[in-house]
Amino acid sequence: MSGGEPVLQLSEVTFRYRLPNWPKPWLKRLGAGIHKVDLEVHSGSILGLIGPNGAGKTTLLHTIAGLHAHDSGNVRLAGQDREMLGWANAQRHIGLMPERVNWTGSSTPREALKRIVTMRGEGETPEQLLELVGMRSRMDTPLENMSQGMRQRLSLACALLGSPDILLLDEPMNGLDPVAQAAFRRLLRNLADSGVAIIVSSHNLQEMELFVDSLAILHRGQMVSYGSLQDVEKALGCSPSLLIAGNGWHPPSAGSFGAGVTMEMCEAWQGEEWRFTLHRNDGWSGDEKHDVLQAIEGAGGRISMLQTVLPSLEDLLSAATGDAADEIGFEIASDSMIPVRTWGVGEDE
Amino acid sequence: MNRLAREKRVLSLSWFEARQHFRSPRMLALIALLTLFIGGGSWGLSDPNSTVTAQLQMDTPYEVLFLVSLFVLFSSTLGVVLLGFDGISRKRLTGELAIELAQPIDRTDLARSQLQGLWLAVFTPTALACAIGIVLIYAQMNAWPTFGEFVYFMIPTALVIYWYACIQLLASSIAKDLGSSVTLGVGVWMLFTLIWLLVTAVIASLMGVDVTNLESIEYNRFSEIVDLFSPNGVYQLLLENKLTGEDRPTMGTAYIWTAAALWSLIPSTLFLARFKRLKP
Repeated sequence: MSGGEPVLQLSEVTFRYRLPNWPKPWLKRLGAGIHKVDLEVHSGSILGLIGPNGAGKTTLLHTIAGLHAHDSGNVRLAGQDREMLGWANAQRHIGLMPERVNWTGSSTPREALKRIVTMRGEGETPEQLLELVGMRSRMDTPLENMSQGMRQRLSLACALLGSPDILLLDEPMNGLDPVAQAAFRRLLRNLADSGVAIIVSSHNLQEMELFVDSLAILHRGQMVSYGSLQDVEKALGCSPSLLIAGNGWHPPSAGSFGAGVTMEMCEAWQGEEWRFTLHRNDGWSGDEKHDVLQAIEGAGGRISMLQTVLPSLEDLLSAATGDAADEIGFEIASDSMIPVRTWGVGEDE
Repeated sequence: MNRLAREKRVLSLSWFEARQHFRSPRMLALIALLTLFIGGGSWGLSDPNSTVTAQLQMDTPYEVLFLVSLFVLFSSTLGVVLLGFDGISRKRLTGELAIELAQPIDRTDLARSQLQGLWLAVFTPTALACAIGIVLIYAQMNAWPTFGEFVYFMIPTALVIYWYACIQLLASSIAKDLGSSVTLGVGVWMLFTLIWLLVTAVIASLMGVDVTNLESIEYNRFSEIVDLFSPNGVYQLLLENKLTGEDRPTMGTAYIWTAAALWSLIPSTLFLARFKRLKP
């Protein structure tokens, strides 16, 4: 992907959980995991990792962070094999912010961070990092009295310790208010501009679109698509649509907006006479949007709203897997995460 | 990082861990337990007018300390359960474990710091309670145990707390939720503290040892052997070994200290091995 040097390269990385196989616990059963994941992240870039619940996002991040030893494949950090670097050196490249850490206890953020600093064997002062994440006034608040937003900030401060080259953030926006989310996005952009490679996981595509440079879609432990948002959409044939609403005109057929355009009428909201979406396989460039606006206004229409609508995660997954959106939704709810087409079910080690 | 720096780091982390325990509300419960059991036991058992059992003489401060060890066994090991039953599982549930495991520190060092931290958190108030205990014994008997006797008493006490710390953290690392943490933690403690006598009697009767007379030499010898498989039993045997006359165990000192060494080695090795494979 775009950016500087590749700082993280994954080739065909596979990891599966080992589950106890009662009544024979010594025979471990292979569970869900990630399968043959290829990924390359460059310094200074932000990669959004999206997928439904149980897709393997956290497992992938934990595998990169060294918390799971991968079964096969290769992980390279800063151009060197993870194994060659050795545990401590490899971990110095990585900062991990797990999902919703529920910091508890009577100690304070300052002490919690000091403890992590001691673990890292570094002489860093926690105060500076706590200031960076906006916790200057809460440095000595007992952890058990902190809001989830404050806990998220503390987790981020932990991830930033030692100025790692690669930052792995698992659902970092959870628990943050919109103002804090905007500040968080700015902070990530600043970090990326200073050369840090960032992977952010989320199940919210709209949220990702605001700040990522590239996107990786994970489903049932497999990388479904990977590239810039436009590339992913193009590859999956899921380009954004135009949502238009207004008054004083009756929408003609889709053909009047050009070849290859499909139109879908929607229910008009209060104060609107019409509302519809226009879709093109190649998406909409600025000029093409302008042409549509001119065509409507030229025919006497008054546009009250024009919005570019990104495809939903279900649409992307549906396009990638070939399954119907309903089936995808059903699958999200199920806990069968092993890619059936790739792996057998109920294998033993 | 050289060996000395690593050890220094482990000690610092142990201190962080212990300090967290010292400030937790559970520590208040532990202090109350220790005061009640060790303090109360020392005062009551050293009372010249008290008669606990005809078999046990309490003529010297060490003999009183030996009996107080029953209270230590009950309260301090319960303290390890109180502080340590969720030592790993809580961190796993809150997500803190993922942050800790992702740091550039050897997992063995991290596990040792958890272990030493828990040990320090229980041993410190226990040692203080024992020190207060000998003052109370002096107040009643007008005699101190010798320095050697006190040190000898504290070594097995430190060891039994360490063994329980290993067992509790091992159980906590196996537990996936708070419920199983409590069950495993309290279950292990109950097995060794409350129902071991029953276990001994059942095994003895299965092996054809007469269990109708628990004072018989045959049963005592058998129970000493079974006690080697319990941390509480080894603790008692170690302390009994300093007694004189018939109160001494019939078993050789080497066996008891070998069992103590194995109890120090096996649970900690199991815990360290488990911690190395731990997934957040």
